[in-house]
Amino acid sequence: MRYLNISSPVEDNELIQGCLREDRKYQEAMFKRYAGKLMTVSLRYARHRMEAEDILQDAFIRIFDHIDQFQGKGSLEGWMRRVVVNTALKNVDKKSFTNEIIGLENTSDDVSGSLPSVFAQLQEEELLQLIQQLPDGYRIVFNMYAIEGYNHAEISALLGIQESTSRSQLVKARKMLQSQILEIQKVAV
Amino acid sequence: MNPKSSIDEFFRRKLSNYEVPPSDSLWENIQMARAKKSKPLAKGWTKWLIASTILITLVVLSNEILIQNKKDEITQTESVKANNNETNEINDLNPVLITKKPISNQINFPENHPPISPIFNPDSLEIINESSLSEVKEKPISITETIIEKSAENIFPSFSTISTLDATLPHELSLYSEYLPVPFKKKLWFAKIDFLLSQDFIQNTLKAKTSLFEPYANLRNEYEDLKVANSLMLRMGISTLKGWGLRSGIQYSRMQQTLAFQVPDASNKRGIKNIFETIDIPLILTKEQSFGKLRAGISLGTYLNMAFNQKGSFYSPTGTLIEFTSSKPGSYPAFKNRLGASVYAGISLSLPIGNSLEFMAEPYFRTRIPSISVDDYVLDQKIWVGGIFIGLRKQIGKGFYLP
Repeated sequence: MRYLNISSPVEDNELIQGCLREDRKYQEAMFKRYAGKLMTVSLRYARHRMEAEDILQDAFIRIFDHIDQFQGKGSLEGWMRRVVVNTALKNVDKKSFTNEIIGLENTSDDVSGSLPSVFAQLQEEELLQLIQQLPDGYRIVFNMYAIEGYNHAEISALLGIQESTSRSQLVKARKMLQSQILEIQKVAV
Repeated sequence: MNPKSSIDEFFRRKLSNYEVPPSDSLWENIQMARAKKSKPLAKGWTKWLIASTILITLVVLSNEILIQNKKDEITQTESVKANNNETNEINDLNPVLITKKPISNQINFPENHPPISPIFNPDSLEIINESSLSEVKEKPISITETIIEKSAENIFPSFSTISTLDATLPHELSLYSEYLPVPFKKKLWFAKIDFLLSQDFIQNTLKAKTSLFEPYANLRNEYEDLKVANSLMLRMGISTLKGWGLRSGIQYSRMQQTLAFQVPDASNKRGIKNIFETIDIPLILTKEQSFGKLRAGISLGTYLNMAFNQKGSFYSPTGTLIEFTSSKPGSYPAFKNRLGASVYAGISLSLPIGNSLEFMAEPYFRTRIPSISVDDYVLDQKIWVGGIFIGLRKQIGKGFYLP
């Protein structure tokens, strides 16, 4: 990847000021600093890498277009993550939350205990793949609740679904992830 | 506080600071997409009005200026003549209205030269007398055209008998294709449609196939000038965010030429219009790049030419006027109503005037590879065209992936 260089490390505030001036050098620097982390966010919500890049592209366009709306109340990274998540949720189909996956009935509901040892061996790339393999509704709710930290009321409001739907999608997502990880363990043994 | 399961915590801890580098092209794509989304210069119906006004004004003005300059030159001599002689136009039309140009005397046919076609036979010339001009007197505006039509009818009763000259001629070149380095891998593509009008300037090259007819080529060069054309093109294209694109469509062109001819008074020239119409199909490869709001690119490709209509006259080697109107029986079929090929090069420039609408200009150069005249004609007539397309480019829908 080819970027223009900013001679010395700059603070986020300086990046923001540069982006407000539409200075391409600072926009590149901001992209370079956060593209990797935001790509991970995008990959968690997307079904595949191509879709993730489209989401990230749209998100960065919104970030540069609306950088003036960042009020400095939280971190720049947190604001950018929210933009990526909102961009990913833009085209979510509500029907995604009505799909049921059969075959999870025998899995224990209690996934709050200690994790099997295979978990420790999983690499980040494998975790991303496991999330991407979840059905759309499961994947979105799990990401929003488990990783972004939204509660069910917020998820309900953001997605336009019932809180109970959000809860059930989360439970099913956890079960499916646990089931897939246990499958990996069996194969490994 | 949300109750978290161990799975939640595990995924959050592992992924919260994990970084996956995006593809190398993403930053460039973002820049290009932002350039496309730049604020429109005008909103609503005003953008259409502004674009249409600029477009029509440029084409009409440039055409009018060019044509008017030539008209002034031609009519100036006629005005002088009219002031000096009250009988004016009709008296100009005495016998020997259309002079045999001195050129005929410069062509020294060898003694043993095989018989050539009737169009080069001076005996076939017929002087037009006044009685044949009775219709002309009632319609003074069309005098010159009437004279030419009559002379053509009388001089060239049948062009089907024209014999083939001893000359080796280049023939139509077949369309060629070349490798196009277009990245057809799975990239985001955009479909766009161009509606363009152009003002074109035509340059002829007339080359005698044998040295015998070099003076004749000079004659035609001297009396045929100011070739302008207007074209209308509808072009579809697909392009990537990186600016690679392919475009094709259909173009209608109407070329207009002023032919000057001499009447007995050497100071008096008259002009008539020759018309050439073609339908072209372009196949163009483009590479574009954004520079702020401006988007510039290079277009290279080929044109499939289909000449379908010609109307007008030119000088024969004997200095008489020949009508070549393709739709008129008995006219000399000097030009080819068939396929040809051109090479095209242009520079495209566009500015956004709406979210998916661009105002564009494309200066270009195009040269037709084979001769436009028939094989048994004594000259090779080739043309090249330069001009500028002006129009609108509209993006259709959103981006898409090729299957």
